[in-house]
Amino acid sequence: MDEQTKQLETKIQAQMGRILLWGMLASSAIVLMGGILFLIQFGSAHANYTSFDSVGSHIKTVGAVIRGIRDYSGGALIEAGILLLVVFQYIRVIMSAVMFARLRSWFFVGVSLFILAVLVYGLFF
Amino acid sequence: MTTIVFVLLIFAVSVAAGLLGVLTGLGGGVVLIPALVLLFHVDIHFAMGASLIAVITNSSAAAPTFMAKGLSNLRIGLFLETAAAVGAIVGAILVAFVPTSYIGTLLGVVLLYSAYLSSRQRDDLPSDKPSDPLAVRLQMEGEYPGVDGIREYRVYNVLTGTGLLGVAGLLSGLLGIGSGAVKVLAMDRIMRLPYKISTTTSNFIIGITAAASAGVYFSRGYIDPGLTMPVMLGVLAGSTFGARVLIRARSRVLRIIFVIVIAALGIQMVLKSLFGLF
Repeated sequence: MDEQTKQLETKIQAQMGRILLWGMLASSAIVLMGGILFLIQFGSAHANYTSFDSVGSHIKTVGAVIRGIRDYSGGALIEAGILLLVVFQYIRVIMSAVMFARLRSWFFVGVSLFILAVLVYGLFF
Repeated sequence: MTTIVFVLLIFAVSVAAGLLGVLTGLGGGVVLIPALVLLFHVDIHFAMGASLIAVITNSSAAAPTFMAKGLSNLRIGLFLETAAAVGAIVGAILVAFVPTSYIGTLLGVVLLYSAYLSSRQRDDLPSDKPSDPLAVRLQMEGEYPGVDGIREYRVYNVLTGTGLLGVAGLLSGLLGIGSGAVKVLAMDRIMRLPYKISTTTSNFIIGITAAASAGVYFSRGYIDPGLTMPVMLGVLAGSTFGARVLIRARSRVLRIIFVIVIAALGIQMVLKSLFGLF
C-alpha cells in the first residue's frame, strides 16, 4: 500500500466515525423525545413485557411509524429514532464503497455492494 | 408495576450493563439480556430486540474514537462482514423457529465462553511466516503503533476466519448480541492480527452485522419502543461513563469480579432455560 492510499483511508475512516457519532446522537435525541412523550401517554399504565405473544410491538412497518407520528404517538417516535440509527449503519458500507472506488479497488467495491444488498434485503424482509 | 417505574428500573440496569460491557470488553448486549430476563422476567424476544439496538448504538458511539486513528482494517472488516451479514439474517429469521429454551441455553453458553475468553491474558506474537496468499492479493496487511514504534502485521487463515465470522453473525442474529467476543477471537487467534486491530475492526463491523438483523427483528415486532428506549439510552450512558473509568482503573481484581458476575449470569441463564428454575 502506498502512502497516498493510506492517507486517504485514514481520512475517510475519520469522516465515517464522525458521521456515525452524529447519526447516533440525532437518533438518541429522537428516542429521548419519543420516550418523554411515551411516558406522558402511558407512564401510569401497567407495564407488561413478560409474554411476547400477548404484547408484541404493534409498530412493525415504516408505514405504521409514519402514521403513528402523525397521531403524536411517543412509541412511534421512538421507533423512528431507532430506524434512523439503523439507516446510519448503511452509511458505513456506502462510504466504504465510495472510498474503494476512489482507490480503484474494484474487488472491495463489490464486497461493499454485496453487504449493502444483504442489509437492504434484511430491511424489506 | 407502572410503566414509569419499570422504565426507570430498566434504565438503571442498562447503565450497569453498559458499564460492565465496557470494563470487560464484551459489549453491553450479552450481559443485558440475562439481566432483563432474570431480574424483570421480560420475554427474551423483547430483551433481544432492545439489546440489538443497544449494540448498534454502542458501536456508533465508539466509532469516532477507534476510527479517527485509522486502526480499523476496512479491507479485513468488510471481507469478513460478507459472511457475518448473511449469518445475521439467517440467525434473525431462525429466531421464530427455534424454541425459546434453546435460545436461552445458547445465550448462557456464549456468556460462559465469553467470561472465559475475557479472563485470559492477551499477547501479540509476531510471526516470521509469510501471510496467507489471499491476504497478500487483497492487500490486507497493515501496520499499527506498537510499543516500539510502527510495526507491520501479517494476516493468516483468511477463509477460516471468514467462516468463523459467519458463525458470529448467526449468533448475533439468533441472540440479539454483537458477538464481539467471537469476532475478536477469529481475528486475534485465527487470523493472528494484533489485539488492537482486532478489537477496532470488530467494532467497525458490529454495527453493520446488527443492522442486518434489525430489519427482521423490526418486522417481527421484537423491538418494543417502551423497553428499547431506556435500554438504548441506559447502555449508552453506562458505556460512555465506563470508557472514562477504564482509562483510570485497570485493576485485575475488578476484572475477576466482573468475570465471576458474568459467569454467574450465564449459569443462571442455562438453568432457567433448561429447567425453568427461578
